[in-house]
Amino acid sequence: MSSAWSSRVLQVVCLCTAVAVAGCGSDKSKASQAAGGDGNDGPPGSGNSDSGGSEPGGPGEPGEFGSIWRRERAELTLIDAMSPAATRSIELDIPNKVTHDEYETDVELFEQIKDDQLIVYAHYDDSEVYYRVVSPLQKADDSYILQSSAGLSGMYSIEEGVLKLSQTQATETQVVLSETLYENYTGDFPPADWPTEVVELDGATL
Amino acid sequence: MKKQTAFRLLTLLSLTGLALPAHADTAPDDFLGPDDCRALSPDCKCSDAPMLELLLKDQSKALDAWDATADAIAMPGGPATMEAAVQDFHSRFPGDTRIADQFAACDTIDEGGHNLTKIAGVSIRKGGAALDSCFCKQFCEDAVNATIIHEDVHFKFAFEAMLEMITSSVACKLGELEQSYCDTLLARQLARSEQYAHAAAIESMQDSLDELRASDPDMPDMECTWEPLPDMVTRVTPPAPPAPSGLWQRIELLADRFIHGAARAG
Repeated sequence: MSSAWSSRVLQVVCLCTAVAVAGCGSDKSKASQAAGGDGNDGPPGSGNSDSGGSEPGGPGEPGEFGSIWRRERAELTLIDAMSPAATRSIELDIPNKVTHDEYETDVELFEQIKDDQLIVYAHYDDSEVYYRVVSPLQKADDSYILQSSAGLSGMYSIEEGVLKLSQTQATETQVVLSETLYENYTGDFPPADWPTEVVELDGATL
Repeated sequence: MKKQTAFRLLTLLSLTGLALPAHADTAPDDFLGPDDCRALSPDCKCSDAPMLELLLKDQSKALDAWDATADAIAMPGGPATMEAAVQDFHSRFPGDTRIADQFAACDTIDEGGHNLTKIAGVSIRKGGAALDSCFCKQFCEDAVNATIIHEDVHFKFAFEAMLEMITSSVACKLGELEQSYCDTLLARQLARSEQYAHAAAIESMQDSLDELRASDPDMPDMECTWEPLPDMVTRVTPPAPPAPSGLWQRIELLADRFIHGAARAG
């Protein structure tokens, strides 16, 4: 199908752009420790991992890939595909809960990188479970590249002890380059107001 | 709701079981989780093969329709919102009414609680696929499993897409990005999600049919054989024009047939 092909091409373009934007391969940012090298497995904090195959453990040291991260703010560069010279930048604060548009439900998210995997912990409002979604990452020097089935291409790196995600999204009329900065979450994890039952999902396996 | 009304509604909406489009909401609370649904669903036998084949064809047609919708989204003037994408899909996918007919034959269809525009979805609250009990009862387990796979894939894709969209989504809600850009991203993700979900369900049902072809579940040494159901009739052949009533017109008709053959006159 032609759309699938064009989407694949777009993904590759986006990935390359994301890599370029984030300075892949440079020595600009050095992770203090490679993902998975923190010696900790499973959900961190109180170690109260539950059923579903999670192994107990704790977070990595603050400022490492293996820490528990929450999106804090982002800087976007908007490029008009018709007139690339007309760019503008905006800065955003990202709330602790974001809306999942398709389900019209707010969701709280935390992310962690270890064992060359992105682990996303998600709890939707009023849900009796929380989700643990694991997606493989590709290691590239001091960074990790995510290529998801949803077409997401992004690169995770650590700069000055802060996790950063660089992404590119594009439509036929607009290109959006974004850099998302995370804050290190140091509270109990999973949070006390989350349910204990976890649903495990394998991401990027479609 | 009477069965006939339900059937008509299903037909009108062109919504047939597995061919449901994306879900803008979560599944109703009375929907069953995968295990409970499977418990109601009969094992697939040779006699279920024609319906499985029909479901497979229907899924394939739905996938073709979503492929076309995805292409249309990428074209100038194409559907540019999730709602428009769903409409575009419906305009391309008629659905097979025989599947709706089997669903509507459920013994508890009249008891209410069956939203016939939605027979499966994702329960965000409980986690995972959730299905209407009538669908579980009316279709054999392989069809149920294919539906569960469809929903699981749909949710996984939607989750990943949501992750991708977080930054843009916040910017969209703050009015920092053009609404058309935001809408197009959502429409595109929806179409791709449906493509993946349908493809996964097709693969599952194809495997089920292959297993039935290889072995009859009741008599493992035998193969299942079956007569495929006929293709759905989508066009009605127009009736032949009435014979001319006058003598002169009849002579003209006979002369025309003599010169040009019967086909032309018919």
